[in-house]
Amino acid sequence: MSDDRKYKFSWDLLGDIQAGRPNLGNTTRLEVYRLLQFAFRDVIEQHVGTEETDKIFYEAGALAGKEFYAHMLTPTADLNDFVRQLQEALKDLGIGILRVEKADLAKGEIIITVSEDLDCSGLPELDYEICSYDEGFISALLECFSGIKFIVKEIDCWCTGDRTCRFEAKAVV
Amino acid sequence: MNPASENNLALLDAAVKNLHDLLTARTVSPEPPEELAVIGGYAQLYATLREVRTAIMAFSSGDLNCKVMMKGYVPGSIKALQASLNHLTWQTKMIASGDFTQRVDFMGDFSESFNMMVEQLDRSRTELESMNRQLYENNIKLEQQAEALRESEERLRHIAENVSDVIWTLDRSVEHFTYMSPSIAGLRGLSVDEALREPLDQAMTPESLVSLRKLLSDRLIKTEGGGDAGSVSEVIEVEQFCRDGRIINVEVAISAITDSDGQIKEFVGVSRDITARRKAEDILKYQSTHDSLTGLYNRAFLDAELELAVRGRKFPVSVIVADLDGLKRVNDSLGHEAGDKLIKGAAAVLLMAFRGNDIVARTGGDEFVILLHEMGHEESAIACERIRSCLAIYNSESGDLPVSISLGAATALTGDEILAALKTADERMYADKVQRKQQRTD
Ligand SMILES: [Zn+2]
Repeated sequence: MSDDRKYKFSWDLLGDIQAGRPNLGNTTRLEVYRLLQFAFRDVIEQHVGTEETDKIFYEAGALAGKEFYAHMLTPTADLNDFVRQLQEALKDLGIGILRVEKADLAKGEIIITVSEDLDCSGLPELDYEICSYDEGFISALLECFSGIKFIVKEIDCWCTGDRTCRFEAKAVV
Repeated sequence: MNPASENNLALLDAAVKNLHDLLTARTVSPEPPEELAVIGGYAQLYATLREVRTAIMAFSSGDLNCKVMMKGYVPGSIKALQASLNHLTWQTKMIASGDFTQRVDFMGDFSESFNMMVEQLDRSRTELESMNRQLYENNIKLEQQAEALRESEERLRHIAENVSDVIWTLDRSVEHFTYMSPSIAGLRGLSVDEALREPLDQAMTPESLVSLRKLLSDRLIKTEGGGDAGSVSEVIEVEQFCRDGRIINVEVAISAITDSDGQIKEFVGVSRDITARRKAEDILKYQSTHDSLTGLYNRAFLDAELELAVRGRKFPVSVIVADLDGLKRVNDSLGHEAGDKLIKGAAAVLLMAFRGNDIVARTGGDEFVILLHEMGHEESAIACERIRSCLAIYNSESGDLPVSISLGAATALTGDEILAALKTADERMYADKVQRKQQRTD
């Protein structure tokens, strides 16, 4: 793809919110966020099909995760410190409550849960996990931290009747 | 009731009993009874409930790794519980590794207790760390002090063991030496061990021991009151025995090591052999007070004694002036050797005639003065007679060069009269000389 892309991501695109929204500030109703996301899903799926759509959301999540790591976290070599920073950032930004069930970096196995997830908590029950954006987001964070590529799969989701979204991350050997 | 509905009721009974067993029985079979498979969805329901049962039983026995695959609200809640317990396990592990920022906010009352425990742990850890740091710093300080002390001791030991003076420490009971430098071998011919074992009273003469003990006990008394007499050094001279039986003069400089209250802990001393110096001093003193030819006292000593007598209180004091006759003639005719012999002869006569504490001095070439304390006219006259007797004895025994002495005596009743008495005695001696010369020429 050529460099003269129109929508190439840049953190600057998030804009100067303080200047731009002196009265409303940096929060909005979650419904607006979900409206945007599910509208995208619908249209994109119509254009490229379900599988491609999930892939697009995973990749978009990964791009967001990479930028988030670069701009919101302080680089560290300590897994605990990384998790602590991430927990705090996710909670402060209202993305979700992150909990670690298992973290074995040597084995490349990490299981985390996100409660009150931005994307899916409270959604009607469906018969599939919906948080593919989160999957990509988490995979990029882990990769940025460890330098190892991770595949992240959501194994439980609010949408499939669970109370919390559970993500299983496995290092790509 | 028709047989079909009767059959259905029996089936329902069996299903209820089967589900009841699934909830309450100790063991259950993996599959529902075959006859219940005809009920639509029963096998699925049985499998789900059985999985819930398996998961709950696993959690209750502490196995949190059990995989729960089913979906739905109740299984979801079970999985949420599993997630919470697993997260709690992880958090505990983090706390164990020193991360005290972990807090629980999803388990009701337990959260509060748990968080209090972590905060308490954190405080204790902080306190312990601070104590530990303090201990570490103290330890470093102690180590530095110990090292400095070791260096200082090493330095002092080096000094103590390389000087010829003997350095020692003595306990405050004044019984035992607690340290003795090796140069004791050079001083007294003893090894360090022998010197340390030796009782103090065998180390020196009784007189020296008395003066040493007095000095040390005075010192102890002085510091009892908390006075700062510890560092002051006092010097005492003692006589000590050597292994080979010699007695040596030892100069001892003594000071004390005191504790923080100023109480003496030990005495420390430096002993030095001053036998040679003492001998040289004795010789010098002898030479300055004696006449080298005759061994009698000299003029300087007599003058000092007269001075003392002038200021003295014991009177009468008599003086006898004795003058050797014919010394010049002997010197001129027989030579100085004969003259010296004549002088020595006169000295021998005078020594024969007087007691040890009478002062017999040679005050000039042929002149002698005898100072007699507490003696009057009569006694001095007797003394003159004694001289003459001794002279006669001497001349009868040593023959060839007879000694002749002119004598004059006078007595002082007070100090003021002493110089006059000396002059009078001199005049009388002269008169005696003249008179005896006349007797010879008559
Ligand atoms: Zn989800």
